[in-house]
Amino acid sequence: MNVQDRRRILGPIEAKPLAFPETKSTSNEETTVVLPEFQAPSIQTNLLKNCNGSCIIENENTSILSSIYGPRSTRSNLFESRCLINVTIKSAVFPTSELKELSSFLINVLESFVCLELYPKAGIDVFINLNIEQVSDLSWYIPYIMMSIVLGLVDAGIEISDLPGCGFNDNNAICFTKNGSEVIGIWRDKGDIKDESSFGDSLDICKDQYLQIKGLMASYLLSKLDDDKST
Amino acid sequence: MQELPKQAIPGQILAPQFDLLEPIPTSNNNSDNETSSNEEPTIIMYINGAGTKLINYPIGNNSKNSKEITVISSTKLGKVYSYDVDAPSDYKTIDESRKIQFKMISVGNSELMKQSQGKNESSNILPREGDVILCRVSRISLQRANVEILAVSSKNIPIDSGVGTNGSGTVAVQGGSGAQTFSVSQASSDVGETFRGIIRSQDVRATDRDKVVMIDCFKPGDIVKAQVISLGDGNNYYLTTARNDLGVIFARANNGAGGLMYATDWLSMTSPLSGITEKRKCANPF
Amino acid sequence: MTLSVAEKSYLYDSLASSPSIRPDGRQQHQFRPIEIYTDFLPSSNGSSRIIASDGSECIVSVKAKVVDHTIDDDLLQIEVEIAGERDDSLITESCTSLFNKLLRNIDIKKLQLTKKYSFKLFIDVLVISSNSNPVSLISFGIYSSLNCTSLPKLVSNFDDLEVEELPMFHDYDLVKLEVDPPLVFVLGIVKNNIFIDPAANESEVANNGLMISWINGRTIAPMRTFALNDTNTKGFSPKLMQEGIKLVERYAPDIANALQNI
Repeated sequence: MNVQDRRRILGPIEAKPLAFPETKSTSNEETTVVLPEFQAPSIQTNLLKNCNGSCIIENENTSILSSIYGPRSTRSNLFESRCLINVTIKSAVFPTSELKELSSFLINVLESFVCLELYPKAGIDVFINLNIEQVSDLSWYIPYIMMSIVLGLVDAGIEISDLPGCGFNDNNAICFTKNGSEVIGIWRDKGDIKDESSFGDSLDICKDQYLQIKGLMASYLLSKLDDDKST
Repeated sequence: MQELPKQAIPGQILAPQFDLLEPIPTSNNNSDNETSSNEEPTIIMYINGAGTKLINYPIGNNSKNSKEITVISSTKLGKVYSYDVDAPSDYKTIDESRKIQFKMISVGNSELMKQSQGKNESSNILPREGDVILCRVSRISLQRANVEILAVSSKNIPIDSGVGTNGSGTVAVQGGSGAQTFSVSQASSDVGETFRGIIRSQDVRATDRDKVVMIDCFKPGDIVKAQVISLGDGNNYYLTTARNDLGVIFARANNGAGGLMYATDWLSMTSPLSGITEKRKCANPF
Repeated sequence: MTLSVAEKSYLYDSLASSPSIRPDGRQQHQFRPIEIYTDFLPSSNGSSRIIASDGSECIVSVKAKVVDHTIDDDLLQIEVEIAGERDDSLITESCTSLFNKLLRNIDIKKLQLTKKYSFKLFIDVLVISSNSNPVSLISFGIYSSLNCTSLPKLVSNFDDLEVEELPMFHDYDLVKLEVDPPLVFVLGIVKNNIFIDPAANESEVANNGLMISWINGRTIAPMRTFALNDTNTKGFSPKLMQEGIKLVERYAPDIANALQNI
């Protein structure tokens, strides 16, 4: 039997392997920053001139731009009595498969409050641009992404049955509607769920955040209505 | 009765579906209370117009005895309008002794809303049955003319100038709801993202419907005024020009090479430059 | 599956009633019968084929490679392929991303060979046909294939930092891989009822779907909602989530047991 010694020839007996000092790669290290749970952002809608609705949500390190196209024709060969929704998220920071997972999650959330039956044979396209300085978990951005989509949809004049919002606490991003009496989505990426009561607590905190966000969006929209009237 | 708010944001509850007009001493706005009152108040039934939606809203937040109430909720940002209307066609009178008034609530911002008494969904830019549209003929066959829909009358033009509903702009190559159902690699870049329609030969005119020769009615490139008769299938809206005011409105002679032609009668158009007369199914220009 | 309006309304009403009545008479926590075959691919370290009673079928294969874990610390890589879907379609990509997140819960210390080298596991999933949401099926497949995975037995030294040596393996002895694979449960929500393992017809009328992951007695991330159909999607009461977690925590150990005994 051909036995092969696969050990490297190590040289003379007294030879020692070269020991390199440990080099620390500081530049490429992905640093996950724990950001505070909710930062009140600045809101601006109706920015882009070539799409039906747009909204930018900004706080210190983040700027999230949504642009809404449609309702417009789809190339589907089937008769759709309801509207198709498509969400595309662009970001240089997160891997595409994760972004695609989030967009399919957001499509499902949107389907539960956009009045799809009003737009037969049509499609609504939502494009999200994430411009992020400090990298946190993707779930941290969901409240702001939701906010920018909802305000973008309102700006585009697409009929939605409620102003939904999303809260973030303890790795849970939970989307609510109808004043917090209904949940339309939950996204949780890491951490164990220790017990029900802690989950319930986190649910309540998310709900409070949702109400806060809803208040922000409502007051922004009402102030915009007043501006329209005065001009 | 509750006052209607002046303006609304999406999701704002505007009114319960049923309300009482005369405030009775112990009234509250619960729709169940109407039957128990001894006086004869007028019941208002609110009907959801444009920009509003009927939804079931849970009342009583505790888990066990939560009840749902049907309310009219806004789906748009804008001013609230209300109009007195007749009973909807599907409404059945159950109890003659009750006085019922019907009011339609709409939310919107445009003048169109006032003209149409809140019925026209001015915001909804999609072609619907009965709408008059402008379209461009893209292909002719013996049985039908294929068209691209360019504009829908009496509807707002959206900011993106209606790429897809009102023009033939191009959209991002990636993404888009087109990409969802159609491979991007198969899409050629010059395909307009418009809604497409079909004018079948029997829908071209109202008389002699089976003797229509398509090539004597339309040529590719003509701008046609037509009416939507049905949403059609997945690909096409079905359109008709069987009316005096519908048909070709703009056309060029010599398959688009010549000058603009003008309708001389309902079956022919003439170019004033060359004097060429061509056959078309024209719309009455007056 | 396309159901008529009348069928949908009948199904919805029966599922929404209290207690809910499922079309096939199952309990709230009951799974449809599944068939599992393990270790049937001769060229992979572990494999399983799982067939659900509605004809959904999925094949999972686990292959191993020796890598230097100081260079490549991503020791579990999963690739999902769904027949009839493009590789870059939303469902395929989100399944891949979801399972990659899920497998982060596996303790990669168990894959370590020596101080320098580890096994890297490549898990390939092929969904041959799926009539309802394939996520739960895939996770059962991964569970049973990881459970039957055997890797070559190391005969060389564990400590190879000082000596530059590649790990050597026994010619024919294999060691069973001992990891705790996670499981994913799909729950359907209809009005105020929540139930495990919605079938195709139940998915068609469900208001929403909930995905809960579980590993060895703990409820873990990822947890998600996702729509089971695109026509009936609605919000649901927040307490249903807690009910779902409770349901999974109660019945998951039994399911893990059943899968382990194959």
